[in-house]
Amino acid sequence: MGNGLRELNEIAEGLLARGDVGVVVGYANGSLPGKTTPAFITKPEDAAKLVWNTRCYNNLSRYLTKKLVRKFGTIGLVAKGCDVKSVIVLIQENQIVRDQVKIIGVTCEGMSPIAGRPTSFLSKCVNCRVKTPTLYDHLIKMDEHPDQVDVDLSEIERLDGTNAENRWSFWTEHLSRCIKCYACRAACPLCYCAQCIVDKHRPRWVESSSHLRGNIEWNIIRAMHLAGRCIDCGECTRVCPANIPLNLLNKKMEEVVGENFKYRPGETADVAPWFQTYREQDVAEFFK
Amino acid sequence: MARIGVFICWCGENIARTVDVEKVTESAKRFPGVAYATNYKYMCSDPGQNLIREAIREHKLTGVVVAACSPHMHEQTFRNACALERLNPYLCEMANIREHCSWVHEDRDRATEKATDIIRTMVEKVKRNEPLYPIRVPVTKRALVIGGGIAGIQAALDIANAGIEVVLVEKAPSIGGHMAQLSETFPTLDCSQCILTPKMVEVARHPKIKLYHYSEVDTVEGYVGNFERKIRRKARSVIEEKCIRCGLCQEKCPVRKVPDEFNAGLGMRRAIYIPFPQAVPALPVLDRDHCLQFLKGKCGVCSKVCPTGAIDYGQQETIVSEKVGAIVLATGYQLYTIAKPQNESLYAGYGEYGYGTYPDVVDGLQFERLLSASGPTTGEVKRPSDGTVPKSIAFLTCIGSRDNAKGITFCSKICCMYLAKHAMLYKHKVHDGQAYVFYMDIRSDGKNYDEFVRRAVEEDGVVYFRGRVSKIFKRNGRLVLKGVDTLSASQVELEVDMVVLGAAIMPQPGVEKLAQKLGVPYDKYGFLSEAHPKLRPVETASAGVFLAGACQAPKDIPDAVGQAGCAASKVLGLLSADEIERLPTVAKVNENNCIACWACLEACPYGAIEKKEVRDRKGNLIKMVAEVNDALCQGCGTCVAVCRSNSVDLKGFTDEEIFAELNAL
Repeated sequence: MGNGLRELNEIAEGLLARGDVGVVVGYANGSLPGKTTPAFITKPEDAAKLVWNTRCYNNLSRYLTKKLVRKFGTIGLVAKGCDVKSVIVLIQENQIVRDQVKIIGVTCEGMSPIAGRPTSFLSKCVNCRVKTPTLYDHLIKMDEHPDQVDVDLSEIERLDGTNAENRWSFWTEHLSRCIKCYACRAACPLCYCAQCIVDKHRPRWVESSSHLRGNIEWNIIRAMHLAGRCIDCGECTRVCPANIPLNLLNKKMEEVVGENFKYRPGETADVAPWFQTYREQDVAEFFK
Repeated sequence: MARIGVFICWCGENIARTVDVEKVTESAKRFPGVAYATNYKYMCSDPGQNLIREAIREHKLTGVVVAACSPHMHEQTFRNACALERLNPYLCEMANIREHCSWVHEDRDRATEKATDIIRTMVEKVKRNEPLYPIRVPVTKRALVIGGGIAGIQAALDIANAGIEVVLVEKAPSIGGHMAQLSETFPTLDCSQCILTPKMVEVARHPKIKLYHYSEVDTVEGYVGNFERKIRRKARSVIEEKCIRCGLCQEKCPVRKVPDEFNAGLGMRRAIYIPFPQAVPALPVLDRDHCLQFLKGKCGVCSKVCPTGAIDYGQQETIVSEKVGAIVLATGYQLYTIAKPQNESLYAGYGEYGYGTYPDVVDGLQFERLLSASGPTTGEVKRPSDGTVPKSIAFLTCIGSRDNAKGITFCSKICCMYLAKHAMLYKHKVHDGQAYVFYMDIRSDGKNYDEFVRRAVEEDGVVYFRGRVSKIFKRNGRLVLKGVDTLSASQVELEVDMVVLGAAIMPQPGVEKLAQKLGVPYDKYGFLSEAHPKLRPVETASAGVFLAGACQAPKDIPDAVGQAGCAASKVLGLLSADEIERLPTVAKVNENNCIACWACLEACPYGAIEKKEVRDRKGNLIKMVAEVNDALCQGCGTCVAVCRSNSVDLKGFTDEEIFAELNAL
């Protein structure tokens, strides 16, 4: 606990007291030691409940598209660099207007894993280029550091090096365990559709039962709908109860979009999303 | 309860030879929902259509599947037949068992199975089809013609003479285009100005033509029948109503050395100038880029000598808005720049001909100006370098055209004719001159065209060499040509006084931007694309936008005038009704599901999607949703494909209908 946290509490209190925001969405202590939980502070005196440590891994921008939170009016959001990227995409896609959210940016040196869980979701932290958020209304310098992390960075390169058959069996092995709980969808800040395509039954495009074909359909559709939008916050992988390395799929799509269309999501809200705009310099090698 | 009728066509032999139509008919009878199935030799014929009509009546059919050729051929035919029996035409679909089956397979058994499958998918689709009704939109009975050359002028006159008001926009200070720059025209050797200026004057005087000269089209909004155009009127610095066309401003202007665009760079003009004596309008225009008043803030001579105070240095460009129902594009051509440096990396230039290095190597338009009585030499053929009369001129065809290595593969159509004309006119003016033409092929395919070229050879003594020139260089002050005569298999070396190069005909620069604004496709050279090369030469992919003249492809004046009349007739047809019917197979947004991410809005190639506010009864904003403009939507389905939440559907091709087709396989 350093000066950073005190500053966070003061800023939150100030925003609420002045009425600049109707709610501050941040992190509070969780029910178990070593865990945090998303907190929705509406009274200035409750601002002291906000905490900051290396377990604040939730991407709170998820709540920016929730009606119950938007009811409070302007939202104060405690956001790390990766969280701010999804805020940027939400602004690009017209889900929130810039002045409806007061971004309380925090610098972050990385989030540590929970003991006993695979560490693949923290690959995002080791190569992080947004330790300071790129967009904010307030910026707080925090001085927490994570413990030493043992991470396998080269998973995508390793998979790319194998042939299609190997990659297929890698994914069918993982996806066979999917139980269609849709936790990945619930945690993802960019899965904000009022009715998800998987829930549509006239016609039923995607099987909802958890057999392999339906699992592959669901996860591929999700990866396709996030192509060029996913900013690799890793929440999907963190919340998956079946330990499927979902963020690998999304990261690969991000690489494909980045190489072919020279576009990285979450950098600026001033450009239109790549998928729905035509630019003369777009690659068209698939036209013969 | 579905009662579908299936009608299988033999198409003479086209289908029946490969597909066992009797067997398919028996299978179709057993499909769930099919109340009647039959086959016939020619379904599209009158008796064939009557079969369908009788069956609709007798068997109380709720839907029809005609298994035959491609919908491109006869969908309209069969839909009309159904409509006559009061069955909504969109409850009739075609199953393509010809192009998709009998024409591409040889194994009879498997082709028969496949035909059965195809019909089954379409039966499943038709069971879910909904009746659709055409969308009617009102029509603005005015037309816009972009480009005031001969094609634009002719189109404007033809439309205006039918009583429809025309807005004619021309970016140059005067109308007339390139035809105004020509001296005489083939094959009659009419004076170009003499036949053009009456039409130009008619345009200026016509009560139904509104001429925006020195103006460009800025933005376009709307759709066929209801276009809204913003036109930017550039500032001439001359007040039109006050100017009495005395010409004093031009006479007294101290800036005398601006290369004259009308004279193709061969002569000079003043900073304030009337483009040419027959200009319509004959108003002077001030070139602010070369005017001392604008560059240095001191001069003002024209303003001082003007007897009516018509000079206005402060004049600003204005934007006017015009509503029209149809648009004709007639933006014309420019010549290919022959010299080595090219604007487009697609093309390569010719360094070997000395164009740009030797002043006596000129292109076709420049030679026209030398021949023209209103040109820089008042019609005498003189060398640009020293003003002497050339005693020999070589004319080279196919400079740029038909040359894969230089990036242009097409034939420019008019150069064989106009270079023969140049040779003849030169001989008529310089009796002891010698003219040579280097050609690859002679393309003289119009009426009296071949006779014209023969006249050059037989009566005017023009020498034709079949071969190309490899290099032009200077030796002892004379131009030397090295070429070949393939008919006699010998090399040719000539010393001449002047060379005229027949440069390729290219579209006007900047036409791509205009085409993009209008949604008109163009080819890699920038020529605007017609909807069908044979059957629809003046329509474009964009409804309500038509083409006329060289902007579509290189052409001569008779063809440009003919095409302009054709475009005018299409415009008049479109504007003849008070309302036009649009196809009802448009997209529709499910407002309950739409999350307003605007992916569809950005992706729509026709700009047919708008933002809509959903408000409660008290007027509070609940949310935004996307909305499809029925009249603009072309039913392409791009929005349906990009919508992540599956909130847009395409009428006539709904998700359910397509899914049913897939499931039936």
